[in-house]
Amino acid sequence: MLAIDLHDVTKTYRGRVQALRGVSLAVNEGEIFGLLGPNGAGKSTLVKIIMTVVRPTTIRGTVLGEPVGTQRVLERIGYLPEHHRFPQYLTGRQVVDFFGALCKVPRDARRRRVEELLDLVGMRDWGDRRVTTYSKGMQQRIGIAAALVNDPRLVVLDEPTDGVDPVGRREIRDMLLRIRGEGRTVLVNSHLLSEVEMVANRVAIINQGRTLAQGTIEELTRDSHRYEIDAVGGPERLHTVAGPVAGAESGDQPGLRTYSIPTREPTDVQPAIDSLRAMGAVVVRVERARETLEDLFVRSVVDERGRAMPGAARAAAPEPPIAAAPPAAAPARRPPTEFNP
Amino acid sequence: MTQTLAIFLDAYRDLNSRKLFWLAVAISGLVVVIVGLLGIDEAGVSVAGFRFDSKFVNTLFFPASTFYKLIFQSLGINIWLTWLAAILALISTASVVPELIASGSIDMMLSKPISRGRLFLTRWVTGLFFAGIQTLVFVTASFLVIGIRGGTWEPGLFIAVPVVIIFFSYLYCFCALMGVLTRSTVASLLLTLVFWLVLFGVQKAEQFLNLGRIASQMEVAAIEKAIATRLEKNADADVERLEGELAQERIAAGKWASGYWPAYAIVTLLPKTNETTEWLERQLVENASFRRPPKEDDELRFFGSSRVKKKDFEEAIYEDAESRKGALWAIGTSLAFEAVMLGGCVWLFRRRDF
Repeated sequence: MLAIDLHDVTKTYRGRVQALRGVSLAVNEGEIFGLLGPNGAGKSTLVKIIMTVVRPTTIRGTVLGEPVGTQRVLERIGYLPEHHRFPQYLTGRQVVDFFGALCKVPRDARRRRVEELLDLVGMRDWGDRRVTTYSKGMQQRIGIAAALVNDPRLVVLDEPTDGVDPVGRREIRDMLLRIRGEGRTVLVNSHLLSEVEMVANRVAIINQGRTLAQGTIEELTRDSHRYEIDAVGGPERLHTVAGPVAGAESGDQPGLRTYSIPTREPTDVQPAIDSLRAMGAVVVRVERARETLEDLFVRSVVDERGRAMPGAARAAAPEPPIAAAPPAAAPARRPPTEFNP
Repeated sequence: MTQTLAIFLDAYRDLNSRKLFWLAVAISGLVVVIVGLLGIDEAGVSVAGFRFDSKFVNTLFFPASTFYKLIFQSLGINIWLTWLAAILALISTASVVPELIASGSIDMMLSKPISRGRLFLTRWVTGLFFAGIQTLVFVTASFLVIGIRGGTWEPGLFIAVPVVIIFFSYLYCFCALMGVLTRSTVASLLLTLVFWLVLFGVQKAEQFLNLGRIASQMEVAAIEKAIATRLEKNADADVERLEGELAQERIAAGKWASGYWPAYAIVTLLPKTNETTEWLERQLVENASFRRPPKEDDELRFFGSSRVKKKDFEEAIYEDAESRKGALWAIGTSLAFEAVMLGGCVWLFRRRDF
């Protein structure tokens, strides 16, 4: 069953700014779903529409089997917005309790739940301190606890690791996996592609208000499977079963070229290796490769004119050279030391 | 109910964390304590044990209870509750709406299963908490002072609590609308103070025109009465002069009336802060034995009349206010204005994307 099943979601703000131009989204129950896209792609608008913070211009579909925005649906959703602001006069415990009450959680159940959640997010010892004394990571944890206080079936997290250090990010990642383990659906809107790649079952890439791609990472990168051969002394162009392939000079070593053969089958690579050997070239590495989520993201957000969107480079941080690479670029290079024919 | 209680509890915690709230409550208490330190007897007044003999302020001139009621009326209501404390309350609560709709805060609230209209109105009502608690503290303390020091217990005094809250709500609804429109605490506070000043000016203009209108009407009536008296005495020469004066006064009365009624119509549409305070004072006269207007026999000078007695004029003003400016007009039409303001707030709040 689908936790989120939306079609043709459009949003035109005043001033005729089109934030969404017909987004569709299908999120299965019990999965972690990553929502990706460059700045200004419309991700946050889509999340806010699901959470009724923004009113859609048009929308079809359901969330948790009900029309979007009904109170019955909101009772079963937990939400952590980006750049959230908790009342400064509240302690962490009071924040979680307050939002639980707003979700109509009865008092006794709320008390129990608050304690469980403070334990879950590792904030029990800090629960009675005001949120103003918290670090960014602690505020995120309290935010996640507040998002879970109503025992939601769907948890929507907007940039949950924003401003959190690597240790905190890992802890939040583990938390997401635990939440999924409890049978909840998690929708994560994040710029940190590597974070999403590590936990998401499926992703959608949104750009300029449209859904560009949607599915598992395996499905989305299926066509990018290839074998890479590094060889010293090989020709400029190598004839393979997939056709002629240009050898890219890496510059790491004189005469070292990399040939990328678009195939999933190892048998297809053997003639190319034989051919290189026959030409006297030294094969130093043969490796099966496919696009990373980051490669897929960068390729997907390139517009029709073949130029990357300005936001794409920022979204793909912290590895700017990859974002600046041409479409369908190879993954980050590893040193050519492996030989694994 | 769980949600409403949570919002009220949150408002209490918010107020509790604001130093200004406690400062205002402390000042309210202090004002009443100072009044309580005042004593009055046959010889004069005393302040914290220090005596000041007076021929005019003593219990022979008016009883102790009247002395304390006068202070409550002139200082407590007219200065403290409806000016200074109201300004403190506005300063403390002007941020409620802008903070509610601030980015990051509003997302958390709107994503909960509570309708936007209910969320906004509940949060707005919690803003009235400030004025309510402060007024309750002040009136309760005043009740005790008048009872203990003045020797008379006047539960009718407590009518001041809801009326002052209503008075504050006139300003607070406008403040909320400005908060929704500008999203700025400072802007909404300043605009509300300007609005209050405009209201004050418009109401004072209406009251001034009303004084002129009533004085002129009374002058016309007095001249007509004088003419009738002269006719009875067959003093024809005076009658001719008086008829000339009557014709002039009727023209003046017409001008006063033509200026007054448009002003009255405008005031009717707006919230009536002054009139509400005056209505409260009239209620205190009826329900808590407060002082009626002075019964002096001076002739009225202000409007140039030598025929209308000041006592009669003030009685006429009081009667006019009682007959035309009752609760329905003073408070009812103000609440109608408030309903329009709040309706506008809710309409904007429900339609807006955050």
